[in-house]
Amino acid sequence: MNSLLELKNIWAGYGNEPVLKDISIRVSRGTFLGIIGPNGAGKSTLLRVASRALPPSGGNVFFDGADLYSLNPKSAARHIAFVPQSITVNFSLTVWELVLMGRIPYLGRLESYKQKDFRIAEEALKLTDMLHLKDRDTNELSAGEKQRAIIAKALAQNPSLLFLDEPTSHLDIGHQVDILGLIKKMNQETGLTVISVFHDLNLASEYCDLLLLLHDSSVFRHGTPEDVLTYSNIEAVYKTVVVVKHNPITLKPFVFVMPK
Amino acid sequence: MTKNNLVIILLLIGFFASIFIGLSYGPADLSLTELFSHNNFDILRLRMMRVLLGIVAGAGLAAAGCILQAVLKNPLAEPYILGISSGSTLGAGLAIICGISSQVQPLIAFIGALIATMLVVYLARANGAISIHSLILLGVIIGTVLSGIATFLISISSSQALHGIIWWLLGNLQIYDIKLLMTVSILVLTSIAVGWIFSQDLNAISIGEEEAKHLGIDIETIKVILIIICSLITGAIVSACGIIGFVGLIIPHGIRLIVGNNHRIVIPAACLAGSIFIVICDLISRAIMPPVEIPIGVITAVIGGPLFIILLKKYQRIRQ
Amino acid sequence: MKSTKLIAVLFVIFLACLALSRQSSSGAEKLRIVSICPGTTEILYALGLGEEIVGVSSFCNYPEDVFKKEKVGSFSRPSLEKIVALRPDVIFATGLEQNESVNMLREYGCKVVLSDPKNMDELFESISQIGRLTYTDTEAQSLIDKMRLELTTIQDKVKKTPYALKPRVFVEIWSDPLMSAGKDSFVDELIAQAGGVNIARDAPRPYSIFSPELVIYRDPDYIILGYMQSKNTPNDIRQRVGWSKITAVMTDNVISDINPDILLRPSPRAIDAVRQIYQRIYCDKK
Repeated sequence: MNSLLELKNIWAGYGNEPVLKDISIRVSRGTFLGIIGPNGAGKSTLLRVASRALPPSGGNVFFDGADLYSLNPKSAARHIAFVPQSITVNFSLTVWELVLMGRIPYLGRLESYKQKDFRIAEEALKLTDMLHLKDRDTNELSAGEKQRAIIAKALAQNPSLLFLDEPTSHLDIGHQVDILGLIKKMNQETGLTVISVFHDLNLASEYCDLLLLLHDSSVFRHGTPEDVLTYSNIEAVYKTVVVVKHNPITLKPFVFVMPK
Repeated sequence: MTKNNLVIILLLIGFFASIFIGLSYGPADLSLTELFSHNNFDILRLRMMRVLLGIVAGAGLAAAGCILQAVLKNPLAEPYILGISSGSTLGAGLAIICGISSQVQPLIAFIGALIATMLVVYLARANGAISIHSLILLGVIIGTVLSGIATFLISISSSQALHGIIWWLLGNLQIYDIKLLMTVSILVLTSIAVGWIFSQDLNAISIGEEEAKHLGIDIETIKVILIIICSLITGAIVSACGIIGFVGLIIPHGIRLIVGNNHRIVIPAACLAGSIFIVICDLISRAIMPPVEIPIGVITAVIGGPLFIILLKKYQRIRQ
Repeated sequence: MKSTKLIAVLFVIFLACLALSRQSSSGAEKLRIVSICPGTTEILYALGLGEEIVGVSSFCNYPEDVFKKEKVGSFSRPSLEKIVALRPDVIFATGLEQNESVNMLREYGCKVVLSDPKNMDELFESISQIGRLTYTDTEAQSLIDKMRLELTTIQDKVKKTPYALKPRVFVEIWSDPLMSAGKDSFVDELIAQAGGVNIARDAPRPYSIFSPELVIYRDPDYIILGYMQSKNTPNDIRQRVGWSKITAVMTDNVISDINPDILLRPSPRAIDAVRQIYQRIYCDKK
């Protein structure tokens, strides 16, 4: 099976109204997939269903051929990591302690961290350029630093599939480029499969191999940024007029907003 | 890590010291040699029972406080939060008013505590998951309702029963029944041990439920197990000692400020600190105004209150 | 004629009113007493004032006759409305727990008399005062004399025992928390009159929490339970950890058959209490 992740006829939601209606997708190994769509289209829900956080009310999720929800939770966590928009910590927790938690899926309940775990945590911190801040309290970090710390924790899980939920919405442009650049690097150098929800169409266009445009609880388009980011698609889904050109350097589609 | 080892060693020293002091002092003015002589064995035995109950109560309340603060992700959580205090007060109040023998009273208080907690947890369930926000809210609401009923019953009771209820509400380590002491001790200590086994899960939960799920923790099962454990611990302690406040709230905070947030260390350290705190408070309650014994809840409040304020100020500075 | 009939009717009505007013005025001569203090209620009955009592507290339970009387509420929470509605000439109460009610009644304009005897002399003083207020001075005096006589008889017998050899007594007022009676309490006086030594003398208040450790340490010869038997039997006491070696327990001198009412209540039956205690601690030697 070439696809690492497959969603088959997924129906999901909270309470009575389904947020996702009959969604089927396949994601191949090594893909950087961006999920875009208007608010309420089901992006975050889709992410949660795919990452084993929300059992679907209908359909199945397959990870590397196996039913994701039948897997042992810890063994699933050894392959799948999730980076949320932010985390709140009510007490003082150092970056080092936070990142080490990424090793929990590899430890039995009574086991302590071993040398190997410390090594991997250090690697993750190096990759995210956070090693110099490892003893800092997470509550004292800037938004960008905090996000990098959370990514480091996810990387410490040594996943083959990484989910991110709007990873750059709190960040300024410089940090956005840093973080997405890092993820893209991991994707290209180690073959890490990445599925990320994007708010910003242009960032998604720039970094993703494939895009998934959600609309009205279903898949509207699934394809390359070229295929998906057309003015007609965007108008149909976002109900606003745009002009799509290309980034002068990278040649990726770029969406220009047309004020009313 | 070495700092934490040092802290544990200091706590152990404090633990044994407090046991020693707790046994040596009391309203009966006896020197150590006199205390250990054959004549005074009964007094020694009485003090030993109290100190043992103090250790168990202190350790239990502190451990339950740690666990609940992590599970509920709320720094103001304390062992009585899920309706336990009012459930057990209602049970104990009913038992006292109905003149039920003192041997059976603790059981009624225990049952009251458990029923209240079960009600809170049951109502907080939605879609097969327990919402921690609902837990806290329901704990307060059900707590208030049960308190209201208990207060009403108290208001129509005789003044003698009133003394008994007030005494129970303020906590005391007076214990005559060795079977009760043993049952409570075993129940509490075993539950603490089980809770400690889930340290890793607690560490994960404390950064968020979703986060913990993504780290492979079976959140819903763990929550139920841990809430049951805390209810057993607190219910047992409450049935033997009445309500002793502050310990379950400030000891976890204090310990976390010193040793960090790894529950594998926090829980044992908190148990030791809690035991020391209660044994010393009990000593004060016995020795400060003989022959009167001041209810221990008064002492823990008087000492615990200011201590908590100091800790809170420190906490606020850290958060800035 | 019409006018004659009218005069006859008016005359009959006038006579009827006279008759009714006669009745109420003869009623007005009798004193109306409310007593919300069980001890005082007993004193009133002992002075022959049973008829004059129009209201009592629900805690008043002696003599039997009192159950027919109108209840005005509990000991600690008497119903002021009910009391006032009974139009009492005088209300007898105690000072401690009933303070609030007493103040309110006084603001209402009622005459409230307090009695809180801490010892026998004050009890006699109180009986005297009640006698004066209810015009039963002679009855009061003879009651006092009778009580004094019995007391003196007992005192003569116990005088001979030196302090160090007097029996040591612990009165357990309540078990959970352990409470006993300190000095200035009536119980303490009873023990003293009966020739015993109250080991809880140094407790700060008349009814005070007491440390169980000190009971063991002070090793009383007698333990008297001041509450209903059903709550704790002597066996329960025996089984308390550490209490098994107390002299009172070892010699089977845990006394649970003295009526708690007479122990805790300053009343004419207090003499019975003294006599019973004296008998148990001096005469019934096992």
